[in-house]
Amino acid sequence: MLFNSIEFIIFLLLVYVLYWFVLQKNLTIQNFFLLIASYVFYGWWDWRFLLLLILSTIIDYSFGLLIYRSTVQRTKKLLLWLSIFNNLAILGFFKYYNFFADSTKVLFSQLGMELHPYMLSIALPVGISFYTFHGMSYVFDIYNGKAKPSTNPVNYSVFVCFFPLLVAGPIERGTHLLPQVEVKRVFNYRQSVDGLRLMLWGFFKKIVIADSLAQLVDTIFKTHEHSSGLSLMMGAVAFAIQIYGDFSGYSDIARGTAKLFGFELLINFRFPYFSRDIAEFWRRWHISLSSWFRDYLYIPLGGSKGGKLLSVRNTFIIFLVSGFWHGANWTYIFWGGLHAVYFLPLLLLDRNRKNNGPIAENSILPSVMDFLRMVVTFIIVCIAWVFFRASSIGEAFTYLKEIVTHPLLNGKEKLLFRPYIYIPVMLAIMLVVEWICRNKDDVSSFFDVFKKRPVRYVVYALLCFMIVMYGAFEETSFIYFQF
Amino acid sequence: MKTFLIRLSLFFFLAIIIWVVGVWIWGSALPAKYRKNLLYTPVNGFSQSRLEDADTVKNIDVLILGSSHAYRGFDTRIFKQYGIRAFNLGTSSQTPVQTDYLIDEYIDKIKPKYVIYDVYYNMFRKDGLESSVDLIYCTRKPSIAMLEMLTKVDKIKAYNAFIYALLRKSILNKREKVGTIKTAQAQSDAYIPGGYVESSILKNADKQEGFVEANGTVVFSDENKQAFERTLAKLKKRNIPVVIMQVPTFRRRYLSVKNHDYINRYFRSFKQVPYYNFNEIMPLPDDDFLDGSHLNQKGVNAFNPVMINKLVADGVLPNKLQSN
Repeated sequence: MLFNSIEFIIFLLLVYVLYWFVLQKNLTIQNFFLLIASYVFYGWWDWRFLLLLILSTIIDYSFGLLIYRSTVQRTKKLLLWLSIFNNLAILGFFKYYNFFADSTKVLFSQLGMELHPYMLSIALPVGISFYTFHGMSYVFDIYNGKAKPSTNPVNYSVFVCFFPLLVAGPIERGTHLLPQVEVKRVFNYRQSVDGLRLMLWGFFKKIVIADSLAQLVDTIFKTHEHSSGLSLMMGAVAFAIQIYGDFSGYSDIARGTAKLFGFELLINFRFPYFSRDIAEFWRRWHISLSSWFRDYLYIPLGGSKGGKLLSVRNTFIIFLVSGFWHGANWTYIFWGGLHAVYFLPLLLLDRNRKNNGPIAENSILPSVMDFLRMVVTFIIVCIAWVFFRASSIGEAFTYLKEIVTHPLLNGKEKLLFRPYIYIPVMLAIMLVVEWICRNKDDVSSFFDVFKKRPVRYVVYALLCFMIVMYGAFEETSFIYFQF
Repeated sequence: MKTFLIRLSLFFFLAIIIWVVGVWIWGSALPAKYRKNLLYTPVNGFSQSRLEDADTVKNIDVLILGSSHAYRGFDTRIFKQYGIRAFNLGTSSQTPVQTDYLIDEYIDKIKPKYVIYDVYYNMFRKDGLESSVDLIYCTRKPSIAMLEMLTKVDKIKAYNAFIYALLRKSILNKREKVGTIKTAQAQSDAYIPGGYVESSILKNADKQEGFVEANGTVVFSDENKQAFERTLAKLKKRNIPVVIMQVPTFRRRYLSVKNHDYINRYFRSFKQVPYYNFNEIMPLPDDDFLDGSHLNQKGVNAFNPVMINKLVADGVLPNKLQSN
């Protein structure tokens, strides 16, 4: 079930009414109901993958209990490794098997040997990378003594499967979400209003910005051999905005939906394209994943405590793994590696924490230097996105080369961009709203600029109207569902 | 909680008002290129003249339904030569969903004795947006049946067009101008009372050059199949015999479809509903086609008599029609 579908709106209304009006008195039943609703939401794609989700949930829940109950450190460690092995085996089988099989075949053929490995022809279970990481963080936290295991399997299952975050995050932590599942939720007017505001903004970014740009991006990437330099540049920029609108839009809808049910999810995006360097970008982009890698990979590997060389090694490891997490394709790994290269100068010069503070704190506009830094950061991020979007590394290099070698204009631009004539206005709306909220967690507080309620309602309604009038309503899936 | 729900309801009410008013302002003030999801233009095909004609027609012998293949493929003047009063209710890109709507609107007014339903395979895989907007633009007044049809098409562009048409036609009592299309094709077409469209162009070679289906595997949408079956049931309930038929299509285009078995099997599966695929019964040469899809007048002159004679010979249309 997609957030941007009529089915989801009906589903949400039904679940909301039953949750608050029928089942509010009994926490156990309410949580059980949330679990069933989440399974229905997930099973809407393919009910068969529910079994995998349930299996993964049972494994992590059991290992959490076993690790906690074990008194011998060696046994704890063994159980932890078994748990990691199980999770990675599931992920590896469903997500990476074909990649490894294909890469091995290519390697052997380069050595002059023919290999015909069996290739899986099954669809990738939606959200597998997300729920596997939920479970792993839970087990890690218990092993590290940061959390106690849940004694209630239903509560734990809700933590893993809660429908707003199930298929594309944010990647939650047991220490953050599980305590919320275990206590009775009380309806909070302000939280619900913020939830609806976030959902509205998320839908605007997804349906108006991302889905509209998706068509332009597809066209340019498909026909890059015949496109002008300007079109190719616009294609790369458009993809950067598309993926941001798509994924941050999803995260806003997920967080907004969770708020309607009395839950606070982790913040996933903090206006990343206002970042002044690449380190800041990674503190603002897909925060729940980058902090996951920081806490469960970078720090256990030694983090930055073992000197510069170790720090550089660990940085490369987490960026490469992060790239690989996105999918079984060398383009993602290259994209991760490129970001590590971008990061390197900051790390070596100890400047990776330089831009930690607010952006343009006491002024309306950024300083000239900050603005230039933002532009440079955005450009290098766009270059990396070309590798993320292209079907192969070779194609990405060709695309980038063509930006420079093709004529800047070839006369086809008018025809190409004409259907998107409204996009600059929509982007300006997004830019202004997000700039105003640049030092906040999200845009929900933006609407408080309008002091009078009727004015606020008109602003919400106008945003709805923009979605209706300029949205792309083909029910396109979210990009991050494939990961 | 109560306050939240009351305010939410108030907001929805306000949002609907702003939607309706916004559609009106956007439609009236902005050029078409700036109003992405508000399509309000007719398609070349004289739907407006045809629907106005349909309001005046009663008790005819044969009603023809379908897409442009119908209104360019069945010349009501040739039917007349055989003593058959026919009316052609084909409209541009008419999918079975729109056909079903037209049946609801017109069948009890027109009261035909027989129905010929042109089943151009491409219409069974289309989403019906183009045809819906054409009908919204061309209808005298948007109706509840039209809104029901739109819920099946389920496209925001169609809903916006409906709201705009409702405001213009039902509240402001405005009528759209006929003949607003300026393309070369439109200029060469002439509407013939009775619903047929005759083109003065015999052949547009550019449009035939290399013409094949972009997607050669046709898969019918469930929505269209259900609408088609609903229409057959409605006609059966009224005891109106129906013939389903494929009008000859430009040969290369037809042959580029890979799964005619699937298409023919589906149309043959309706018991007591005769099915004729004239692409197989009488393939016509390229010279009989106007473009990469439709018959020209030469092709129609060749096809219609053969088709009528065959229907009579097979007892699908009775002989007595010819003696009337």
